[in-house]
Amino acid sequence: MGDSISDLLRKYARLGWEHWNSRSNDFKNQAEKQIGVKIADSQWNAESAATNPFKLAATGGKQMQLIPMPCKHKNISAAFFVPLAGRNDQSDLSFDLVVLLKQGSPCTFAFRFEPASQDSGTTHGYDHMQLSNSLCQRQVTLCGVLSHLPSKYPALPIPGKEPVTRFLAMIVSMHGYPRDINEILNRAFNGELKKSKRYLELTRKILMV
Amino acid sequence: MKILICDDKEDNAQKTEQEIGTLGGVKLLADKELEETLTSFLSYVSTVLDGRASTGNKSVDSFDGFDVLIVDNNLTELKLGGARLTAEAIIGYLRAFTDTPYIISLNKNPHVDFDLRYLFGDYQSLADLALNTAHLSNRRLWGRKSVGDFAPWYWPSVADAADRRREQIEFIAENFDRPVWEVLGFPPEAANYLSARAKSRIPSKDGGMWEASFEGFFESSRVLPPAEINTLKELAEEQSDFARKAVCQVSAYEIDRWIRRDVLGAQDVLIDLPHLVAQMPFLLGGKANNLDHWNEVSEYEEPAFGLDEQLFEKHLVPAKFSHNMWVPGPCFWWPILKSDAALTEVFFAAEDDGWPVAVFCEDVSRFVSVSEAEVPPKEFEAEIDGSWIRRYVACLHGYSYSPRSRIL
Repeated sequence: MGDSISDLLRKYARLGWEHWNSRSNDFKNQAEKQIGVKIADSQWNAESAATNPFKLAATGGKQMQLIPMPCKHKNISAAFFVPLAGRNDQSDLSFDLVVLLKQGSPCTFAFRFEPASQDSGTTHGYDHMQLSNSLCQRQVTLCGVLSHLPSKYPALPIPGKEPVTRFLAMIVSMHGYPRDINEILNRAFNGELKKSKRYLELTRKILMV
Repeated sequence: MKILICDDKEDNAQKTEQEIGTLGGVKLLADKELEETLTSFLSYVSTVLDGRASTGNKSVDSFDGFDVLIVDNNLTELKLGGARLTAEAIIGYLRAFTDTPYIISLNKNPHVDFDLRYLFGDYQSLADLALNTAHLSNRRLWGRKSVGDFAPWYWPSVADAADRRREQIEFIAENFDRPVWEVLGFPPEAANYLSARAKSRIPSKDGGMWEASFEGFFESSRVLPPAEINTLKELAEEQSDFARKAVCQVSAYEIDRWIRRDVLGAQDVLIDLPHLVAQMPFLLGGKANNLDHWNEVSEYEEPAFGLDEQLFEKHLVPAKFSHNMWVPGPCFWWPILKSDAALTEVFFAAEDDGWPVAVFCEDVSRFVSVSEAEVPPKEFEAEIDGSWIRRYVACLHGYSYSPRSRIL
């Protein structure tokens, strides 16, 4: 994985861990139970999961760890992501996003932010985001999710062409623009203002605002 | 400046005086003299709170008429009867029943120079500031410029803090039953930025935190036992001038503490100049490429505080916190700055190639270059409830930072 995306993912994961760490143990345990997938339980684990994209075949069934995101909203109690390695670690990186609702059933929604498919005859030959009822291309089961979700369509185009912009598209979807994403990136790159400015400029560019 | 040093040991008191140096007006109260004075003072406090004496007839005034009281925490040599005495046990009474506005607790944590938890100092102390004897010779405490020496940003200039406390007490007397939120001019957006900890200290009743008054802060104060808080309140309601003054003194301490620790400390709602420059160096205009100018912003006393005058007028004046007595230096409403779309555009348009790669070090009150410092600044994680929990210290040799586990 390239230095740039690795640095971005590690620093965002650290911020997510700080946010997650402030939640009660009861909430954390309940969230893990509801989702049915392990959630990183230390800053080291969160950063490690962020910088080592999940690759089921290569890990011999190593347990996936969801990385907390630094956000909660009116109806959303927590959100998590996990980077997934593709055929080519660098450009094929995709991201699964898991959103835990505050109440109701099902309580979990998942989305995947994927690069354009290179398969011949594909209908998803563009970077896109889809609903999902599992993680890691159906290889990791997700609990509390509506089983009959339309997980192939709609496949919404996202303004990304490589891992960094794909990741920025995903976090903008959870933090919004411009207010909170600015602060999130500034906090993630605390003490590295020029770096956060670069990512903010890139975010503006891909959103064309 | 008039300073009263209280210590159970004369030689310790003299040592404290020597550390302060030649500021003039330092008086010592130690050994038997302190024992007798405190006995009379606490007896007077008891008779007032028990309703056995008129609050107007003050029999002990030895603690009055100073700007600062410095009380050594270890007062165990004093034979007052009962439990062995510490400064913390009497500071509440000194706060309420004397007219000296600023109280320093000395040597409560002799092994800690910089507290990494709340960027506030010892949050458990009831004093305005907890220091060690050796700190008293530090230039920053006496309003002089720090040039890279140990000088925690959370330390005030003591003389300024004492003056501001008097102004705070007057301010509260004029606004006692009015909503803090409204009187201090919190913008509506601030409600979304205030941390859970900051909100939890607001004594909100039916009207929510927007309606909470200064009176509410007094009623929920822990400076004195609840029964004594209630007694003081009743006396104040009976139009006792003395009790009303005591109530305002305690309230001013509580609001000041809340603002310093939970509102300004987090830099999420109010932001001070160095932390603002760290986020928005472009506010320095053409001077943004020079680290010396970054450091100068905390030295100016008049607007535009070394910032670009046009940017200051257009974007910072509307966001400036207007009640200077509550903050140690110029502060701005961060939610207003963040929602200023034109300011965001200035940020993106700014040429940043020459911006120094520097961080604000909380222990020396200066920006330090990350690439050029002999020892790079260390990042630490404060226990602040807010967005900016990760800060930096220069970590000077010879000073104790605690708890060390917070340094990353």
